[in-house]
Amino acid sequence: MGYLNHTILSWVLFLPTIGGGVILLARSHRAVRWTAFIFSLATFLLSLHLPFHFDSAQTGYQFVQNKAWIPAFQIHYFLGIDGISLWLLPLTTLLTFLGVLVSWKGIQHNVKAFYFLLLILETGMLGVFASLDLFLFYVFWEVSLVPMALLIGIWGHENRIYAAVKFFLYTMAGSLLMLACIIWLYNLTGTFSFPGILAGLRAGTFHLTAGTEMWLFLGFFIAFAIKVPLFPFHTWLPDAHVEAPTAGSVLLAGVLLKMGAYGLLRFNLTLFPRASQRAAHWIVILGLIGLIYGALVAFSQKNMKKLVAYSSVSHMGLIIVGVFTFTAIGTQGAVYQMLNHGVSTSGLFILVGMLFERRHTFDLSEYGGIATAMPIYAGFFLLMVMSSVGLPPLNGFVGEFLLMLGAFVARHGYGITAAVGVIVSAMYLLKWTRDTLWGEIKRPANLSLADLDFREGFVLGVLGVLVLVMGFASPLFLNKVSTATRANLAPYAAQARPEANRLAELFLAPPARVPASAPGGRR
Amino acid sequence: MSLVPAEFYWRILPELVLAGFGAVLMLIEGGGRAGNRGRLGAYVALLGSLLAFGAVFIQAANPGDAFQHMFRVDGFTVFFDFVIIGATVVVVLLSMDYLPTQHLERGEFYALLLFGTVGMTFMVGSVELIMIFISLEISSISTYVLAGYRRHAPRSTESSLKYFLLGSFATAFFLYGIALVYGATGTTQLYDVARASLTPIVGGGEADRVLLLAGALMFIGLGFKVSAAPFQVWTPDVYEGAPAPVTGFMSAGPKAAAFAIFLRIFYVALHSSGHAWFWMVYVAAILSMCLGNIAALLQTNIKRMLAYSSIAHAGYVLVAFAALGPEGISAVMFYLAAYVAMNIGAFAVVSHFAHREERYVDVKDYAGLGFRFPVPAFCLSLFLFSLIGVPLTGGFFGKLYVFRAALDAHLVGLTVIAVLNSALAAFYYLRVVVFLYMRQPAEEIAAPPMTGAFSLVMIACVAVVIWLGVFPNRVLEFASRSAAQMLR
Repeated sequence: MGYLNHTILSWVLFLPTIGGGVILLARSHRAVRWTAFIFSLATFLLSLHLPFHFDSAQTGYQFVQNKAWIPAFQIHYFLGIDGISLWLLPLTTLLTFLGVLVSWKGIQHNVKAFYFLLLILETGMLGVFASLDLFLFYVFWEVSLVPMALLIGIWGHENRIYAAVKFFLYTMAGSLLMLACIIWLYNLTGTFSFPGILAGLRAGTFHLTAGTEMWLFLGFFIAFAIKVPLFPFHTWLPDAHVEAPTAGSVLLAGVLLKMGAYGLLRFNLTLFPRASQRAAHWIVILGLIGLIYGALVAFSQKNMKKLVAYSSVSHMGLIIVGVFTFTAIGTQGAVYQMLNHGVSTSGLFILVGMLFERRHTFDLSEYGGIATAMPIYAGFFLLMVMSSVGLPPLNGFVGEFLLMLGAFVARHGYGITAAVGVIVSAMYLLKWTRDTLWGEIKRPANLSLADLDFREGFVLGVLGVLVLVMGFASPLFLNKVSTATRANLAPYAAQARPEANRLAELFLAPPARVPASAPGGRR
Repeated sequence: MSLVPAEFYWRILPELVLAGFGAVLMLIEGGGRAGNRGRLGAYVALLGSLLAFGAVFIQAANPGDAFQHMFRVDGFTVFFDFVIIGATVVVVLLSMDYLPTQHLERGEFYALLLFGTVGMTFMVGSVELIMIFISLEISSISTYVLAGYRRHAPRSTESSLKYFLLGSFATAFFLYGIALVYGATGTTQLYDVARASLTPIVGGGEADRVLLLAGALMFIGLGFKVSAAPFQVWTPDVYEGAPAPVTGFMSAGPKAAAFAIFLRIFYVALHSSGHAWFWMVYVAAILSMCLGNIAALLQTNIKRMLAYSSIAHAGYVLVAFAALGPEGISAVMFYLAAYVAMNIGAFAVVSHFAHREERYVDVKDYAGLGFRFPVPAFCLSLFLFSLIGVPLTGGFFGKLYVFRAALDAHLVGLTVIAVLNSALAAFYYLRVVVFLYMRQPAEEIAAPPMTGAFSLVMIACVAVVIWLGVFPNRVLEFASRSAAQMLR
């Protein structure tokens, strides 16, 4: 077991790459699909090793692997995870596996290239969450960019090229700034190792002046804010989502957006605490604007995929609010909501994709009364929407509840605005459900729609079970997160308000459970 | 004891091999049967350049000065010899496909290629200004002729003429600079110039000013050779008109060699006036990056686009140049090595798709080629991503090194401009990838055969680009060691 624990991250990371190589050798479309299926499933199962052998009491990184890669530049192949990144890896592997399944019938041309890119993308995304060397982190960050741009550009819908190029250029511009900041940090500290830099900064070995810290903070922040995407950097997202094939949307919403929030949490908050505090108020305001603006725009959408895309802008805004409250409870909520959003929004995109495969349109006015012909589909639809709304006791509720508590503790105004935003998001989601599932049947085609087949039912079933489990048994997940979030907030401990600590004890200290019915104040 | 010790010959062995095979090629061209002479010439040239490549190892094993300190073998020389002769090998392989397609197959093409390479390798090894000038001329004259090799195509002739006229003009500047250096210091040996410039024989501040003027004149001459703005005007027309493999060659070999002597002259001989010429480099770097990238955005002809992109890349190299230290030198060296591999690779694919009379060199012609010709298209995308600077490619590591050197020298403004330019550049490289994979073709280009020579070129370029991107450590260490050696 010792050997496995020291190499498991590499296995999880590169199993998909190996799968990609095998796919290139496959002869038929059928063989390509099954190879992708087997490798993505194997990667998922292997990644489950991580939560099962993760020691939730231990501080610091686990499953660490550290080898010199480019000694001339002090670059290391340095992997490791803590509570913040722990669940993001299985989330990624699961969503990739489901992505393989949802593309089974939808992707009919250039099948080999599609699955090849999908698996390479998986390696890139996993690497982002597992890297502890800033250089390595940047490499994986970019590696995840290229396949996604190609997935959108080659297998997308009508406007795909515009969307792909916009996606690539936006992200590239942000990440080049980040690269410049990484090199700057390297020149200041002489290392790319994230724990090394962090220890040096905290011990006072390296000192950043307030100005330098602010510039570095901004360089990282813009790269991550584009990825999240935080208002006003979000304009690439609706285009990318609408044009992407279903699997692309699933991974984009489910994983790539999380890379931004993860980066903020992991790097900005810890490396630049003073700059974070100076900027926090404005960033929270941007997050709140995103939350409400995204919800309002989603409310007025006629295109279903755009609606879900803007709902992502809205949800991610709330997550950023949680991150920049610097409270244990808000951070926990942010980490948990990242997972929830990954599950429920992916579910919504998959649902939209299934409708598209049947009717070839995303236009809301084309649908209505679907529930008559597709009762099982309607059931899953309702479940995912309710998870996204944050209905107790589903998973979304836990995350949103923690996030709003965090916001309230930090400043009452934040909490009140966040609550308003959450109400608006309930409005558009419920309206969308009503217009799609129920109401009169305007198009005769909607009468004869086929309900879910086994493959589709399986995909949605997996997500549905997760929605329930993550809602009812949230401590199972949160207990493994708390040590890392507390450590992450160490620089802010001095400023923490007493009520924040009390709340944290109430809701987070194991084995305390999040009560299924909220003690007032939700909406 | 003979007058010339044997190891002097070992030190110039690659040049001797190249010159010898060049001469043999001329003889074959004169005699022999018509018809298969070209093919034979190609194999002789391939053998010659491969042997020369091997000879660099022997050269590397015999470091030191030769011929009255006019020539020096150090890590720097060896590094650039590998790059330049490697580029020549690749171009010979490419021409084996290209010339028959264009009905241009003649032995003298290869002879010119080898003689040009002799000039370039002598350039990087010379530490004496007259030697540098002579070898610069050898390399230039060969390239002038090669540029006009498609002599029935008006564009090619125009290209050759423009290159020749502007090129001779620029070399004249360079020569004038040499004369002034001699006037100020009484020597033309670079390391002696460096010493003399500290204790000038003419006396006082006069010599400083003369040296600065000399530096400015040589800067113009070399700026032309590396196509740095504002001396870049010739580049697009010449690159467009020249045969595609020759364009690939011009953007690689002569450019690397010119940067090598650029480094040696300015970092060694004119070291004492660094604070003054620093601003020339600074301004040229900004101009080259901005002009090159903005103009490249507007191009639809791939060769022209790559020409402007090569101006922009000269700008990135100048950014490292402006760092004024050993870090800067090794960054320039690494960047050039990566640049040569990816750029020749890109031109190789362009010449592969070009067809007779270079009909298909527009971006639109590349629509839909990605899935019809997966291997060349994939390689081209890889080279383009490397030119953008995506990680795990040599281009990325080169950029990283350049930015790092510049930031280390506190050139924050320059680095920011370079970063913004790289983001801008992504747009036009990406457009080619978009056409390759995401657009439907208007006209179906017939499949050019994947010959053995072309496959070898692809394997070599892809391998180098990936190797420099994933395991750059050895090259990095070699470059920084040689940079330290060169300054001694």
